[in-house]
Amino acid sequence: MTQKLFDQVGFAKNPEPRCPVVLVLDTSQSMEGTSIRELNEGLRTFSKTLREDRKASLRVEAAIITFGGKVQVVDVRDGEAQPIPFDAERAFVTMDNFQPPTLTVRGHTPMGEAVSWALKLLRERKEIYRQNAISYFRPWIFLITDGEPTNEEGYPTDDWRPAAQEVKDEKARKGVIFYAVGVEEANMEVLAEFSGEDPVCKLKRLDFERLFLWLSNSMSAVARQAPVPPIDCGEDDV
Amino acid sequence: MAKNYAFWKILRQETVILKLLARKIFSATFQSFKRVFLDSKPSQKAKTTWNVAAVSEQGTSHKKQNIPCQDAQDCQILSNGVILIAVADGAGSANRSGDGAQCAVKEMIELLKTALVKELPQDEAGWEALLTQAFDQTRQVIDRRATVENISLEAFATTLTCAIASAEWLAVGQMGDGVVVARTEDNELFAATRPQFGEYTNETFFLTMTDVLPQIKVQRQSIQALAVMTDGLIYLAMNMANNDPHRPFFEPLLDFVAQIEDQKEAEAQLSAFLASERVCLCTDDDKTLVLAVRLPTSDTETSSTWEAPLITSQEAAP
Repeated sequence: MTQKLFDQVGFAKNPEPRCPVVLVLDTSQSMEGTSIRELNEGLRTFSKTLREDRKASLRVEAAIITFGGKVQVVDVRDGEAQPIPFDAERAFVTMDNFQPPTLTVRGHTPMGEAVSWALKLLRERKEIYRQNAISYFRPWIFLITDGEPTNEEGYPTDDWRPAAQEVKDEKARKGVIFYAVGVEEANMEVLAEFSGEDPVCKLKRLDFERLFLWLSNSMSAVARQAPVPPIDCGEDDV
Repeated sequence: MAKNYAFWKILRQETVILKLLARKIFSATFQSFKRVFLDSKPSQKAKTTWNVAAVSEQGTSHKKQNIPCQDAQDCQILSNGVILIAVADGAGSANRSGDGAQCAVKEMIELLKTALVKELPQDEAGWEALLTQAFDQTRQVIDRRATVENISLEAFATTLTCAIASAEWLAVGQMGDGVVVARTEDNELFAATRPQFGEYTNETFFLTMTDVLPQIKVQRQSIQALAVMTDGLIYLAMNMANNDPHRPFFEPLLDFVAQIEDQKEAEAQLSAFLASERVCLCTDDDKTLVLAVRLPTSDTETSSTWEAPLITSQEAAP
């Protein structure tokens, strides 16, 4: 009799709260070779690990913006790494539908512009959530670069500074959680301007596998409202 | 002469006894007469009691990470029929939040009980003042504990939600993202509070935040049933877009509680339900649910008002 009563308990149908993350990834010429290969492997680890967490795979939504030659939003639905128009509706996909793209390299490093795009994409995504009565967690931006911002001629520029200020302002408003990761010859001082008081991660030995494992575990933790462990920048050579 | 004296003494004593007896019989008859013919609100004279089932269940994500249940609950029924319920959810990121939650519910119930056994507030302002003060004092107790243990107040971060129902009033107070759902005599189900979130659903307010005020709502309404819960169950129990209780969630559970004969057994069954696969597929957070259904009994019955034993939070299963 009691079991019958419990079996009758009906559950409300609510959309899952969303945890949006934008991966802002350097695909400039300098990433050619091992770097881009390891980065692509890292994306596969990220995707696989999150899909193993049922709850997280329904809550975490990822978008990818690459900066190499030009800034592009990448389609993450089919693994083809095709650029798609800037559209907060299409750019994000929940991890249960995420297909890790295989990225290729080219051109210079428009980092500032890419970060600006990421902030704008998140603003528009939040608006979509509000319009659809979907609750959400504080979004993440995860920036990975091996160099420094350069113009089309390949020379270092200063045009990233407004974007760095935008990040600082957004963080002050508690609008975003921002992680910056430098690999190889990355200009850590530039990254520090984006990160502000938060530490910048210098990735050791191109250990993207470890980094993305940390990222997926952290996203899982956020989706479950559990504490996030400190960022794992890999181990030094023994 | 002595014999006569003894006789008169006995006679006097018996007369006194007869007079006392007569007075008692007259008083009882008059009271019955008064109750039947003169009193206009017989329901106020009826003693009420409550059936209660109150459980906290460790969430599956906590089990995986070997973190104990950080929820707590407490419930008391006073001899005047007033029910007090408090639930709390310790913040995942605060390392003493489980203790914070336990301390918060115990202190809150104790403070409310001390005030309400003396007298009930007579108006909205009175209930609001009572709850505001109780929240403040509960925070102070936790603050003192933090000082004694030489750790930050934030280490004890916890939400706190409480509900009081008397014969005529419903008063609720909340810091954080718990929920109080109430059912009226007309079987209308409504949310007495709205969970407090900022912009982000995973960032709520805690009792330990000194710059945030609790949400207090008081209404003159006779409540027939109450459900108080932490956020672990809200996606199953509430239609989140408009903060409406999901009737198919509450009705079978309140029916279950109305029929309780053995509270401990009922709580074991409720625990098992909260730990069931069906529920755990939908939420991996700690779950706390306190359900109470009012059962009015009349004066003519000899049952005394049932006082629930102090219900403490469940220890998490390892």
